[in-house]
Amino acid sequence: MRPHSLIRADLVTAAVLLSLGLFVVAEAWRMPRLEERQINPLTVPGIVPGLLGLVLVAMASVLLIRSIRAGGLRSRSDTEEAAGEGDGSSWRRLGLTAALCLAYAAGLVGHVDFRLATGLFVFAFVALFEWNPGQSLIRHGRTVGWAAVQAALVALAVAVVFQELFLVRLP
Amino acid sequence: MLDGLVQLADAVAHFAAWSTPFNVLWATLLGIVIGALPGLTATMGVALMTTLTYRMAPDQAILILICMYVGAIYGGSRSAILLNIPGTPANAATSLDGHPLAQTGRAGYAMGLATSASALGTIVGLLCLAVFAPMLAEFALDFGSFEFFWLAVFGVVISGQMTSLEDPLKGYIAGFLGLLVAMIGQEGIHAHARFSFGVADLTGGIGLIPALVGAFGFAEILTVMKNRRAELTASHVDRVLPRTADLWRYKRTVGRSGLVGTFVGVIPGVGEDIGAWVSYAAARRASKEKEQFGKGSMEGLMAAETGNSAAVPGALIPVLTLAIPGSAPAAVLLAAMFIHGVRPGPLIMFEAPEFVFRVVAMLLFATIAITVLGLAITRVLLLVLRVPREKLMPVVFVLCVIGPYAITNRLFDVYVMLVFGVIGFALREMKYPMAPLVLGIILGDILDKNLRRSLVLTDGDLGPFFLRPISMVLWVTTALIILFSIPAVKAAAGRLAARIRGRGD
Repeated sequence: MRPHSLIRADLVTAAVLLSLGLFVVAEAWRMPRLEERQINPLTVPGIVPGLLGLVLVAMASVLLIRSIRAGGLRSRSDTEEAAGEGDGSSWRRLGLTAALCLAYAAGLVGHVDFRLATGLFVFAFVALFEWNPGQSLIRHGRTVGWAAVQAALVALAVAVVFQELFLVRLP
Repeated sequence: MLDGLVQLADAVAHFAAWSTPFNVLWATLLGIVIGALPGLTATMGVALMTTLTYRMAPDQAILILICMYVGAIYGGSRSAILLNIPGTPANAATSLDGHPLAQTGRAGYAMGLATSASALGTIVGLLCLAVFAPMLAEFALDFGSFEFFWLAVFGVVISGQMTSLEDPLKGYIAGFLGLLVAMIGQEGIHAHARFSFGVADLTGGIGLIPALVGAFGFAEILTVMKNRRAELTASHVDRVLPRTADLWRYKRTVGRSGLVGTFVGVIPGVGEDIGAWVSYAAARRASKEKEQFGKGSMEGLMAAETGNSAAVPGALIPVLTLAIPGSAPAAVLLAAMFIHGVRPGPLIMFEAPEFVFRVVAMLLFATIAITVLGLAITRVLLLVLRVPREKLMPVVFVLCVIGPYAITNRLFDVYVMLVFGVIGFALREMKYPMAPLVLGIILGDILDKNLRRSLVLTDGDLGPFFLRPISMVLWVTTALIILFSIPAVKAAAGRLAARIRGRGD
């Protein structure tokens, strides 16, 4: 028996995949047939994406029907609701990880010096995840201090190892 | 036979340089550490290392990647035994018996057995590679466009089926999503840019390495940080070196698991995790001590570790002979071979027969390295497992950013990694397997070109697609796999089989 949250997730995914499949089919249909180059019509660029799109539409439809039959459109009962809440702290950790990683890779990298960006990211990651509100001031200081040391070491080591040893260009 | 041995000796001699043992040792050790750390997989390790070694000489670069691959699949047994968390998905079956052994104070011995089993499994696999790869390459010379088209379809379907046995539909969907990803960018016949929407970076297509670093690196970091922290079961280790009597007692299990693991490895996109499970199931069926399985059975532990390690050379057999990967890390290795100018495929035994035996030699070096390192540095690896994830994961993510950028020097590839990381995490949370997606990205181009070429050859006639002998075997097998994944058909077949058995009694 699959949990209701997974059935609901399947329903939403099926809708997304169905839309994606239809979009792919439409785009494939709109692709040029290259008649001016007098190519064999059986080799037009849209033929394979179009077929793949149709297969995706078929599979998404099966997933959609299956999820509806399994009760994906029904609202959850109270007990399922409580069970579905899960561990709030794990979602907080996930959100923080995603936010930090995206801010670093999409925001800082390429816009700020790579060593500085890496140092800031590692410092923020370690300090925020090891921060314990119940700790004494000295402990807080130690956590932040060690995070800064690790950040500096990683930023320097990455620059030296990859640029000098592996001859890799850094972003 | 003698000819094969001579070629192997030549291959070993080819690597006679001081850089070889140095590279073998550090790459295998790094592989073991990556495999042992939950959240870092063999695929991610090989993908990252591909980006960092692409300026090296081809032979040494591929040697490093193979050592990393073998090391990581073996290294995952450490965390399976000590943390009850498989370091890589390939070690899930190992934790069933390895962890109970650790709980009874025999963690060291379990690690020693896992080391021996992994080494023996790799040896069985590499022997099969040396014997069967030339045969398969010769057989593959009969493959034309029709066969390669069906092989691509078969690969995606069997990979989807075997990596998602509970819900094959999700496996198929993952595979076809991979095929669609491969459609992005300029196609190989008329150079038309598909699905690029005027974005110049998309015209070049989605790189396999950035996509894999995202799906196996960033997605894993998100998963590890979401999960609860794992506790080490053993803080000290007992005797590590396995007794010869124990190894001899399980010789049949090792032989069977080695062959089963290799065979599963050969199946496109299935890989080490399924190799371990199938070997484990086969060993339990044949065992005299079935009731011990899952409670700390040495036989179960050895079957799982032999199976996953044998699947590594197994997965390289189709890489070398058909240019189709047997597993996700093998897909990266295939990409790395192309980067380094090696052209695997049916012609390999004509164009570069020595390369096949060099791969066998590389696997042999990696086997020696895992045996030596695995038995010698058990205590050091315990320390590695104590590194808190809060300190480790930001460093891993930094590597995930550097890796995709390293090959093309484009920030676009970093963004591809991010997008695939988020999508990979979401799909994994909803129980979609990743291996068919990877295989789909690799096979997309093969499927596309060969379908269109075949249609031109037959002028639109579909007959040869279904009537040529090898094509027929491939499409009939594919159709049966899909048919039997439908619950109603499976149930009807079960009822029919029961009725026939009933009549027979």
